[in-house]
Parts: sequence; structure tokens; C-alpha cells
Amino acid sequence: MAEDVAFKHIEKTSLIGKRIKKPDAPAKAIGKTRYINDMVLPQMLYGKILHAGRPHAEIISIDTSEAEKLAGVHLVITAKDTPDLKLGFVKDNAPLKSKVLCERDEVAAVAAESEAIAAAAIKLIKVSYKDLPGVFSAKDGLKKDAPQIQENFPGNKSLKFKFKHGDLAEAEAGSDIILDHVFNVHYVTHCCMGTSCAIADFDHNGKLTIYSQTQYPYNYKMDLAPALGIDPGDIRVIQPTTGGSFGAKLDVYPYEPVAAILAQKTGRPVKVLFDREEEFINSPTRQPAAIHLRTGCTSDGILTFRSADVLMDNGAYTSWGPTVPVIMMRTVSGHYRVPVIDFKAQAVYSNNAYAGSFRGYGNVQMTYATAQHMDMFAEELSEKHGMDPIEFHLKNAQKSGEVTPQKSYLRECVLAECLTTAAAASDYVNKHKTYTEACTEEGRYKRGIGLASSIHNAGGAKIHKSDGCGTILKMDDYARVTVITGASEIGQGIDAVISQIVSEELGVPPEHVTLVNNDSDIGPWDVGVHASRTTFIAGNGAKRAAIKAKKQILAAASKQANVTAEELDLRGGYVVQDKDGAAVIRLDRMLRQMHFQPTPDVVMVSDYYEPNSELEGKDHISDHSAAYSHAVHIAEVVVDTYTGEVKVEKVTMAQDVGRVINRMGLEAQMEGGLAFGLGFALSEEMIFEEGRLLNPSFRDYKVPTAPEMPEIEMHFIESDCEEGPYGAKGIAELPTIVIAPAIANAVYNATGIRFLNPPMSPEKVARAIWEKKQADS
Amino acid sequence: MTAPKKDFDFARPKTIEQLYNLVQECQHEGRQFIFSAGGTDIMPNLKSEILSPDIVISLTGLRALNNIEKQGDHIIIGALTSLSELCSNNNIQKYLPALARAAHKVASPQIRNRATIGGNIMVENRCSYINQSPINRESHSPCFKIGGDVCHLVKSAKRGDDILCQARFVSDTAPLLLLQNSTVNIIGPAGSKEIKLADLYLNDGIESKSLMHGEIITHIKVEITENSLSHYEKLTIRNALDFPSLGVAALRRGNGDISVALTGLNTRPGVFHAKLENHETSDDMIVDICRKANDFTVTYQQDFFPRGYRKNMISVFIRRAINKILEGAKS
Amino acid sequence: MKLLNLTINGRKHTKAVSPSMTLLDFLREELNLTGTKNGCDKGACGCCSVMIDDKPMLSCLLPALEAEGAAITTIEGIAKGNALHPVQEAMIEMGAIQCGFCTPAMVINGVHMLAKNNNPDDDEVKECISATVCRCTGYNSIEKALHLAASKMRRAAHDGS
Repeated sequence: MAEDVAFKHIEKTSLIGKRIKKPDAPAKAIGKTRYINDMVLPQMLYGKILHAGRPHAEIISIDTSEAEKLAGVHLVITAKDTPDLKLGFVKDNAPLKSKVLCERDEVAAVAAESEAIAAAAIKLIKVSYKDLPGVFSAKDGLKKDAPQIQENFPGNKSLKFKFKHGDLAEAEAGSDIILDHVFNVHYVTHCCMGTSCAIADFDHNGKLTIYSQTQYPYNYKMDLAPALGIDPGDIRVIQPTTGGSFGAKLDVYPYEPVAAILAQKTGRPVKVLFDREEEFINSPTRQPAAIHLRTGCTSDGILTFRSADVLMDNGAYTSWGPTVPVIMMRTVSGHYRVPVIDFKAQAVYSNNAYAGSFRGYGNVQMTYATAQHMDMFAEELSEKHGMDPIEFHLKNAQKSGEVTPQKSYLRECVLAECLTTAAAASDYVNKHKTYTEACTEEGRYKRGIGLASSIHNAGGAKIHKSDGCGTILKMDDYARVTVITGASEIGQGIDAVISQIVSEELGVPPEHVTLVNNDSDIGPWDVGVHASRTTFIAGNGAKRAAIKAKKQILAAASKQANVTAEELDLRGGYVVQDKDGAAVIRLDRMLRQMHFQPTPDVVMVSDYYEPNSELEGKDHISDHSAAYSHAVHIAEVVVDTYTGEVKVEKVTMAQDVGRVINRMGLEAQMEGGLAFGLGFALSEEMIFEEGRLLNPSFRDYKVPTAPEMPEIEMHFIESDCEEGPYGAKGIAELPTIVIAPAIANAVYNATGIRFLNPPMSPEKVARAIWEKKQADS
Repeated sequence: MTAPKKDFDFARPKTIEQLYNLVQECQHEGRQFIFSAGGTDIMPNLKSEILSPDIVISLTGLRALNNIEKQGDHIIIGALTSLSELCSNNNIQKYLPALARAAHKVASPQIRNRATIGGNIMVENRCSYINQSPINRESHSPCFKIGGDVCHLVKSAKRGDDILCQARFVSDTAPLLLLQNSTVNIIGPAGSKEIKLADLYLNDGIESKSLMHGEIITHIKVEITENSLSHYEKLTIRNALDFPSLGVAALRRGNGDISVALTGLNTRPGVFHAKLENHETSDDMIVDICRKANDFTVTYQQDFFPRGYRKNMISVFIRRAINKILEGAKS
Repeated sequence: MKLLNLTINGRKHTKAVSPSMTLLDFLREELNLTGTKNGCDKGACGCCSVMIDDKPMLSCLLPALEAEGAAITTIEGIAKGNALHPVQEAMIEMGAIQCGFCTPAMVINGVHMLAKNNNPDDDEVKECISATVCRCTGYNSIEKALHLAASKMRRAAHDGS
């Protein structure tokens, strides 16, 4: 036995559930991190886009001659330079437009030697427009005499979704209470702190390197290529550090091919970077929707049916926004046990802004409706039949092993525990009763408490043929580990989780694990950061790769130590005896011995993890995620009935997280997700006037700031998901989804008024209180 | 980088004399100039191309204008005193605590470190059609405030009307200063003068201040009112960053008379009084003030809070401010 | 172009700048100090906070020439060599950094507050970061980090005395 292992014993410990620091945090704390916004390449030119700034118009002529003459301008392009190039979900969008269909439309672009010159050149482009009457709502778009927005879509009809299960007429007949409301969910936007940016660079062989903020580097190539007329194989995507994403970068948007076209034609790298106003006007929004929801229930408090008819303003082009019904219908069919389902959704083209994916993906909108209906039932059943509100929720809460009408298989379901935990921790039942009684009393300030829950996919969502993620893991002669993963880091913290998982398996400190995940030429395929999938999918992949490496090392060590591999383990940088932790050999020494022998045995393993989920099909009947999770939020509010101001004082959350992996990252995602939902519920709203955004600034678009945040109490329920890494489930979207209806239900508890149309801004609340007073008196 | 779209020259004279030499030079050469104090309001307007001067003349070099002094029954505040200095100044905290409160409610800590009291009382009127990106503004036809021929709020407005522009007055500090009978010292190419602060404000959103081009405010002279109590309340969606959708300063004089001043509603601030009768602040006095305030208000949709809501909030906020004062009077 | 003299993170600089260039652009583009971020360029997000003569201000709202003769501290000047400031350490320790774009501004404002008062209450902490927008955290973790940094600084001050 070597001297350095004599008498050394290392106990088995686990990192799972511990607080692991984000590896990139120190560089960010000292301002050293290089964001894409900060990048300057040698020979780089600056691209700038001329946006139409009007919602619907013919382009009569474009005169670029003055701009071209300006010193320092290399190139001006318009739609005529980019014929036949298409992008978007149904290829209804183009990098540069020959007709204006919405305010943001890209009409021309410039490449110049400085941003100032590019900006000056943009002003010299003379465009003559003929304004056309526009369509500014889905309803108007469906009118017989509405102008047609997109050539290939008569009647302005865009995507359409349908799902039916069971006999609706029969279920209605068997219902004692039927609720019927229309919820209008408004426009909000991501407001990533780092504005949108792309840097494109072609090499002499015609291969494009694009520095991008994208969340899905591999499919991105497939979507970008037709917008450039090149082969997807000729695109390399590099993802420098990005200032947030939240779903905003899950598609290709015109500025990206524009940067690439400018780079291709000038032979120089070209950077396009939005300023904040451009960011507000030209980024995707959350999909707005008018949700006509009907829900039935018996007087025993058993849900009988849900029917939802969703009308969506598609805007001028189709990105991910109008596809959100795929998730909306999972909520309709899966948020509590509902036997009969009737779901319809129609998207209608208009001259408004268009929506993309956004944290919560349709579920923010739908849960705002379904969770309020649940609360309305609970109120009515409590009033008429004396039913305890929590009992009502529990009666309808699914249990492990249940399958929803869309065939979501709820393998481990702890909705009931989430409900009882949050209710007990917040003293929900008592407070709810007290505030209900106080609701009709005189007094300026009213307190309320509100409960909401929801379900969301927590093991990816198989909307592509593969929902997998590749991992390559290598170890060097110093026992340092490099993990090359397809999973992207956008600030959410997969870097910490992967290094944690790999160190858990290989017994090395997390700091000794390096992640390589920002270059599509290096990384194996992954479907992207979305659907709360990354810890689940990439975490599983990293774990499986690490286990392979461990097996390889232990097999080699077992020969040396003359014991079976099963009797050995990796801990604290050593190969040890599993039973007593007695050190056998230092890990780096072991790796060198494996390496430097006649037949070298080097640790280089790979894995492609594909979750055991089923592809989302046209019939929408599939177990599309490898796991599902629930969360319950209980919000406590104070409403100033004079001013209509709603102050959220405290939120108690209980969420099925499967198992806590990195507690620090988990808490961070919970809190941040909640802030998004809070802004959506109370203050954030994009205000449009005939397709023009009236508040494209942080002054006028009210993102929550620190004083608006409530106290947050978190309860993590560990359902121990069989398929998830160490039992974990995906977690990051539910906090955004559940909070808004919890606040709405709390405001109802305080005031007796339902708010079907967020945001619950002071003027809306004050007006509703005033109207109620008029009606009551 | 999104620096101001039009390059401008910049100068920071150190004395009033240098300042006016420069002004004279500019006038002689036909160069458009604007003055900048803290610049926190000017810079966004330069970047949005609402202003496009040839030269920005910074006043921050005029160190002599950065001071606060008590002189008898007045406080003299140098126009270049930063809002954060104002908040933390002993004399202000002692004699004009509501002014400190109002200054503290402006924008954000970082901005208060830069923004000045002179700049705040001179802050440019705002409108949701003006304070926009140039491209958005250009897609609407240009409005009166940027030299066009239309108002998007009052569609019937036409040149020659008394009030062309409804851009609203948004200073947080002016209301209280008005209640304290403040005067402002002004110097300009034609010499110096002292005017009532109330006379600084005009009815129109374009020419909203009576300061002539080339004039600057050097000092604000604030009356200390014996045995008075005052307060400032501000309506915003968020606690930081927001301009007042409505601001109410209230003052109760030693003799029991009550005055309030409003900001955020109209093209200029409004001041209203109620005289004490029967030795006690009565609800009638408050109702009277609220009625006057409501009559004064001609809010348009210049803010993202709808006009009806802001109008309804006037009484709520006046009561809130007065009640705070009365609570203070009891304790 | 006009000549500008100023001190940044203890180092003196003399440079010719365009009069309309903001301090933010001067730091980022002329000096490559890209730690200070451009979040909105209109004074409404706080990301470009730097200390000017020991007071946090928004560098996007200031022509660079306004800083003539001033001493400026940017995020790059907060750590002393490899020794991070307690605020930076606490931000890392409390998980208050995700995408990190607002982090430099949060640190600048936090460092300034704690230099004046190492025992701030909740309201003071909230106010300190009230005008810096963060879209990743819900601010609570940043507030916790500033409280933690404050307690570390109090302990250090106590041990030192």
C-alpha cells in the first residue's frame, strides 16, 4: 500500500441536497465575465436594423443611396437582397420584409464600421409607405371583412388545436355547479437584462460561426439555415455568457439571419445588438389569450368536466407563442382529476406583436383560469355545503399512478402533500375564514389569503422526435473531469448541478469538474433549455456518463487491489474500500496507471440519455414528459380599497421537486420564477395602441423591483421520482405559473371581487371596488 | 452603445462669468445650447432625440451653487444641490422634513446622487407620446411638442390654442416648495432677478417654464413656516424609479390653515387653500380642497394610469397627506 | 474630441473623448472595462451603476466629460487582488447571482451602502437595490447577501478594533 493512503479512511458522504455555488459566480461578481454584449471581434462591423415602426403598410419604395454614400458604411440590404429566405414555425416570416405586417418589421439593415455610423446610416434610408388598415385583435381578425394579414392564411386563421375526452353533454347534465368565465390574459415580455445580440462570422469555406444567445443551439441550426439558404451543417453556434433568456431565445428571430446575411455579403464579422427600446419592441411576448373556461362540479365537490375555448392573437408571424395550447390543454386535462375534457384553441393573425416561448409556456395563462375556478368552487361549496376548502382540493387531487385523459402518467404524485403542507404552514383555513368574515366590514385595508396550484411537465416535454441530451466525459491524469454536455447555461445554474452530480459519482470536488457546453461543434446534441427539463435530462445524462467512468476506474482498480469492483468506491479523490472507506489508491495516481500501460486505458466516456416519454402527437394523447410535478402557492395580500393597491406580503410555496439536488440553485429558481409571476399578476403589461407599443422602457413597463417582493417561505416536497437523477424533477416554471392565481384568489378573499383580466393593477382593483360598492348599495 | 444620436459639444464652465461668455459665444455663432444640471432628465431626452442641441453646457462646475444655508426665517438652497444632499442635510431635515421626503421619493438612489433640486423643479414635462423611441414617435405624425402639428391626446387642438400640449408636470419637490412660498433667484444674460416659484410654471406642456433661454436658477429661497406641519404623498406603481402619477404636498400652517399642492396631473402644479374656521381642521375644509383640486385637474391619458383613476385618487391622496399631518399634530 | 482626466479604480487616465460620449461608453469602449453593464441606457435599470467620488451614480446618464477630475470606482475596482469584497463573497454564497448581468450594479450599490452603515435594516437594504432591476432572482437572495456581508463586515470591524 502506498504511503499516501496508509490508514486513510474516507466516509461515504453525499453532495445531493447540499448548497453548491455556481461555478461562474465569482467571475460575474467581479465583472470579469465576458457577455456576448461585451464581445468585439477583429475586423468586426456593426449591424443595425431599420424597423418599420408602423403596424401595416405597403412598402412603395426604399432609397438606400444616401446611406450607402455615408463614410464607414459597408453595406445596406433590403428584402430584395434576401429573396425566398424564410423563418418561423410555419415559415411565415422573413429576415427582411417587402410588406409591413407589424411595428417591429425589419425593412432594411446596415453594416458599418461603428454603431454610431450604422445608426446614422439607418436614418438616411428613405422608405415610402402606404399605410393599410390593420387588425389589432384576434376577434377583429376573424371578422368577414377583416384585411388578410398573411398571404397563405385566408381568414387570418393560424394554428388550431383540439382535444376531446368523454361525453361533455352527459357531464354537464351531471354537474350541480357549472362555472363559465372568460379570462383575458395580457401581453408581457421577458425583459432579459442583457439585450438581444448576435455576432455572425463566415469563414472562407462558407461556414458560418454565429455567437448567439440561443437556448437551443442544435435545432437552431436547422431553423437558421433556411433563413440563409445554407446547409444546417455549415453552421457553428457559440453561446457566450448571456444576460438572461427565460424562453425569449427559443426560436430564430430576424436579427440573427440579418447579422449573418450582412456578414456573408461583407466578408466581415457583424454584430447586431439591440438597445432597450428595440428589445421591448422586437422581442417575443408571452402569448396573450382569451380563455373561455367552463368547469363543472357536483355538490359533493367532485369535478365533472372542463371545457376551454381559447382565442389567441397570433400577431403578424408565428413563433412559439401560438403553440402554447399544447401545454394549456395538459393543464385543462391534468390540473386535478377531471374526467371529461373539451379543449379548443385558435390563433388568429393580426398586426400586433407576436409571441414566443416564455417561462410557464401557456400554463401561466391557463392556470390563471383553472386555479380561479377551483377557488370559486371551494368558496361556493364552503358557503353552501360547509365543505372545508382544502378538503375540496384534496378530493380532486390525483394520487400516484393516476393517468390523465391525455395519458400523462403521474407516477409519483404528491399534490395532496403540497396542499396540506402549504395550508398548514400558512394557517390557510383559519385565515381564510377570518378574512372572509372581515370582507364585508368597513375599513380601508383588507387582508386576503389565496391558494392556487398547478401541474407542469417536470421531465422534459417530447415535442421533438428526441427529447434527449448527449454527454461526453473525460478525466485527465490529474483527476480533473471535463464534461461536454449539450445542455445550455443561460444563468439558470445547470453548470452547478452537473458538476455536483459528476462529483457525487466520481468522488472529486465540484471545483475539479469543468463544463464545456457553449459550442455546437464540440457539444453533443440537446433539444435546448426549456420545459423545465435541463436538470432532469442533462442531469441524468451527466450521471450516466459519470457512472460509466466510475465503472471503468473501479474495474481497473479491482484488478490491482484484488477485490471485486463492487467492493470499491470513489470518495474524496481516492479509490476506497466501499465497506470501511479504507483508501486504496489516490484517484489521480490510479488514472495515470491506467493511462501509462502497454494497453492504455483512458477515461473518455459518452452517453445519450433519452427520457422514456412519448412524442406529442396530433391527437395529443401521449405521456409526453418523463415526469410531472405539482406546486401550491398561498399568497397573503393587503388591499388598499381606496387606491386599489395590492401588496403581497407573504407567499408560502410547496412544490414537488422530486428530490433536492442543489438547494442553492433550487431556491434561486423558485424565488426568481415567483418574481416573474408577481410582475405578470400585478404590474407588468405591454400597452399597445393600434399595434404600437406605448411603453417600451423600464420606466413605463413596470418590472417588479426589490420593495415589491414578498417574504417567501419554501417547502420542498420530495416525491423521489424514479426516472429523475437521484429522484429529482424539473422545477423552474411552476413558481411562475402558480403565483398569479394565488394572488387573484387572495384579492377575492380580501374584497369579494374576481379579477379575470390581469394585471391586477391599482386602477383596475380600485374601479372594481367602486363598482361593487355601487352595485351593493 | 446607444449614445445620443446627434453628437453634441460639451462644456463645463467654472464660474458664472465663464458661463455667460460661453452663452454669448454660442449666440454669436448660432449654436443651439442647453443647460444641464445633474443631467439625469436631459440625457434620456438627448438619447431619445427629444433634444438635439449643438452643445450641452453643464452647470455642475458652478460649485458656489451647491450649498444649503439658513438665513433668518428662510432656507437658501443652491440650485445645484443634489437631491441626496438635500435629503440628508440637517437644516432641511429640521425645518423642511417633507421636502426631504419628497426629494427622497424621486427616481432612485443613484439618480438622487446626481440629480439636483434646480433640475427637479425644472424637469421637462412628460407625455406617453413624447417620451418614446424616435422611431415610434416618427410613426405617429409629429406632435406640437416636437414641432409638429397635432396633439395625440387632444385631437382637436390646433395652433393658436391657449394650451397646445398636455405633457404633464412631474416634479416631486416643487409642490412642497410652492406651499412654502419659495422664490427662485435667476440670472441670465440680462442680469439677475427673483421671482415667485409659482410664476416659474406656465400652462402649456411645451413652454412649461417661464425661464428664458439662457437663464439659470441659482438659488431657491424657501420660507420656514413657524409651527407648521407638512407632508408629501406620491402615487406610483413601484416604490422606486417611477415618476409621480400623482403627487400631493400638504401644509398646515401655525394658524390652522391648510394648503395642498399637486403634481403629476396637469401641465403645471396646482395649489389650493382652505382657511381654518372653528379652531379645528374640519372635514369641510378637506372636502373644499378636494373639490378645488378636482376642478383644477385636466388630466389626459399622458400617464399609464388612466385619467379617471388618477382623478379619483386626488381626494384619496389629499386626505392621506392631510391625515398624516393631523396625526403629526396630535403627537 | 476633448481631453478628459480622471482616476478610475486608482489609476489615472488622460484620454481624448467625443463630448457626447457617455461615461458608460467611455468605460466600456475606450477602456475595455466591460464589467459595467448597459441594461437600458436611459437611467431606468441601474445596471450601469459606478461610484463617482464614492457615490453610486448611473454612468449612462453622464457625459464622460462630466467626470473630469473625478475618482471613479467600477466593479473591476471592488476586489483587492484576489481578495473579494465581503459583498461579492456573500453574493456568491447566497446564490444571488444567476445570469449575473445586474450583479456588478448590485455589488457597487451594496458596497456603498455598507461603507456608510454596516448595520442596515431591511428597508435600507431594499432601498439600496430598489432601482437596480434583476430578472433572474426575486431580490430576496440579494438582500440576504447584503445582510450577510454586513454581518461579516461588523465582525471584521469588531475583530479589528
